[in-house]
Amino acid sequence: MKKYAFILTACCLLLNGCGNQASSSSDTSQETTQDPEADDYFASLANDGFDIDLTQLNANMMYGQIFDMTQNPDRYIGKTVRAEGNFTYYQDPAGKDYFSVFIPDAAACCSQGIEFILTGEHKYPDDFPEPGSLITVTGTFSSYEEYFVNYPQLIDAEIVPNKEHDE
Amino acid sequence: MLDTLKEYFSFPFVRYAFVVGLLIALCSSLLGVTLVLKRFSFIGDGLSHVAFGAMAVAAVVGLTDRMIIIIPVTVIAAVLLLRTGQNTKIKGDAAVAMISVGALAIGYMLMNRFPTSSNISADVCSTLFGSTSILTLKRSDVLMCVIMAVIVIAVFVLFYNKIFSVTFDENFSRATGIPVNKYNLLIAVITALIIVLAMNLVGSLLISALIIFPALSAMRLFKSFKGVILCSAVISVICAAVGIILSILYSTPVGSTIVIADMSVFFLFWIISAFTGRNKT
Amino acid sequence: MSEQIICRNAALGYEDGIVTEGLDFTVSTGDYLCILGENGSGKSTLIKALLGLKHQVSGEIKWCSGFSAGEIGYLPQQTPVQRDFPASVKEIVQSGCLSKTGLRPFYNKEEKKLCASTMKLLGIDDLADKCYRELSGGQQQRVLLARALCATRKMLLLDEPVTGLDPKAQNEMYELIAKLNKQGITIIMVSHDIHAAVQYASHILHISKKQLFFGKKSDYLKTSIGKSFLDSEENNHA
Repeated sequence: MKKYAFILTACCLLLNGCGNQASSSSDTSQETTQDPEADDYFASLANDGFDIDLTQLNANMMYGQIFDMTQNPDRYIGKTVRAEGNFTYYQDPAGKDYFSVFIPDAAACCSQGIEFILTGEHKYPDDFPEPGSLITVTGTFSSYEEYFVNYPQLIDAEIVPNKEHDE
Repeated sequence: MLDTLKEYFSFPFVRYAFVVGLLIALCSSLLGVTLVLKRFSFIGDGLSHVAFGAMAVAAVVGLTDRMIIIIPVTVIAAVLLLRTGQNTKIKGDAAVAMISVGALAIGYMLMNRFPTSSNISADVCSTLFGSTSILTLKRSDVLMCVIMAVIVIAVFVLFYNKIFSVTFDENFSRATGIPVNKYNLLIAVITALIIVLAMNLVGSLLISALIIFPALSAMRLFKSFKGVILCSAVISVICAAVGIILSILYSTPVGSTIVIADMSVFFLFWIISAFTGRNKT
Repeated sequence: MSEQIICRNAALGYEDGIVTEGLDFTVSTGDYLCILGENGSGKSTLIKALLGLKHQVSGEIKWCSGFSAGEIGYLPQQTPVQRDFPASVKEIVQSGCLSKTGLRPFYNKEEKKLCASTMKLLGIDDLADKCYRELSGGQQQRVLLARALCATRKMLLLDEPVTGLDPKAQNEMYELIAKLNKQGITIIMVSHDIHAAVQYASHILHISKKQLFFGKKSDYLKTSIGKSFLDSEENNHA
């Protein structure tokens, strides 16, 4: 009997714990209480003068982070971002060019891409690296909607030299 | 390392993953003991494939809330599998194999022919192996998972004694007027719910491991049903926690890491039981 | 002596065929009825019918004087699942009280008390926290018997209660059942052990595809069926 009581209370505690987290979305009064946590969060993301330095995250974390940026773009708009991945190029039937940096996850099967638009005038392919090569891109986060889907985008982007890797 | 971990836990999606992961582990271990003892492990495996098929259908139809299709389809499959499983053993086995492989084939076919995203292999891979989908939960997913977990745990606690009796001796339970078939149905439905939940955590191919390993480990060492259930719940939650933390730190696939943690505990318990000689096996 | 079960010309079976028919017998309070028959003679179907789990095809089975099918304490044959089941003796005995709990999720004090006293009655109170799968066959049967007694004190239905036990444990089991019978519990035992039947039972029901005999034990021994069955069993044992 005691054991059941224990299980029950344990469950309640667990549920309470996460219930709060889950329900805090719409409540504005709780938004303020979340701030310290959010500060922590953005403090962890910041590095080298960038608001969000994806290159410091390991593959799993990067995957989750990019997904979060796709899901909740509002939270990230205007932040400076640094990302490392494989360069890809795509031209849609209308002739519009898309450039993006593709970031594979740990299982190497679920890669995600972030589109970027370089500052200034650039011509493909002369001013771009080989598709598939490893690049590092910096830029300001923004997002746009196309066919009801939010796409993340780095504007005022630059391709910068890759970081030296320890491994 | 602790600092890194603390830092990572400030990420909302990491916290979601942790909460959801532990709840799923808890739920799956509770039912696992019953499923193993009733020789129903295979139903879990079959259902996970059905859930994959349903997921593919939902993706192709383009539903934003895929659960609307996945949950009912999996529950119905659970009921059907239980029905056939009760009649004759061989027929039941064949039915499970048929349904599960069929669902897998249809699911993959749909995802391949009607791709909803540019990256089919990623979709398939993440549904089958979970990959990192636990790190991509939205608030609504978390809420959904919490509600389902509450239902599963509440049902289990409230019907604990009945589930025990039905697991231990269906004939006796039936003779004393307990509606055994209804409870079997209840067990099947909860199993279906758990499998749908667990698909997020470990992917549909690895769900069986999450259900079976903690139960088998606990059965090595514990002598009472209650002891086995509590122990398997503890094992499952700890393994899930360790698995998630390790996979975040070392960037390993979440599902596999959890399952390997579960396996390690199983072998540990197996060795302990062999040395203490508490079990005849 | 009040009647508990009256069976009138009942036929049992499935949609595609009758298994056994012409069943015509009465079980009264305090009886020790032994149901004899070969494999496939319809014994297990009869058990289901007595437990109210199966409806007769024709005829009548009646539970009398406030007695119902759910009040039979049933000792089923062991299944392979049970032999390897991680459960304590106490947990199993308590599950006998389950039908009393209704929608209440846990056992109350009275039910726990009942379990304790029943375990004492059967001499297994010192095994309460032992693991069921580590017990001997005889002890396991006692545990299941205790569970049946927790469900009811009116009537016990035992399905081959000594199968798989060594001779000493078999004797102990039979003595225990006889002791319970003396305390006023009606016993229905399904068996193919005619010697035990002859030794302990008060009534015999011998069925094959149809009812061959029902009546007092002493009458059974005088019939040709009884004699030949006794002989054939002896030859089998020899």
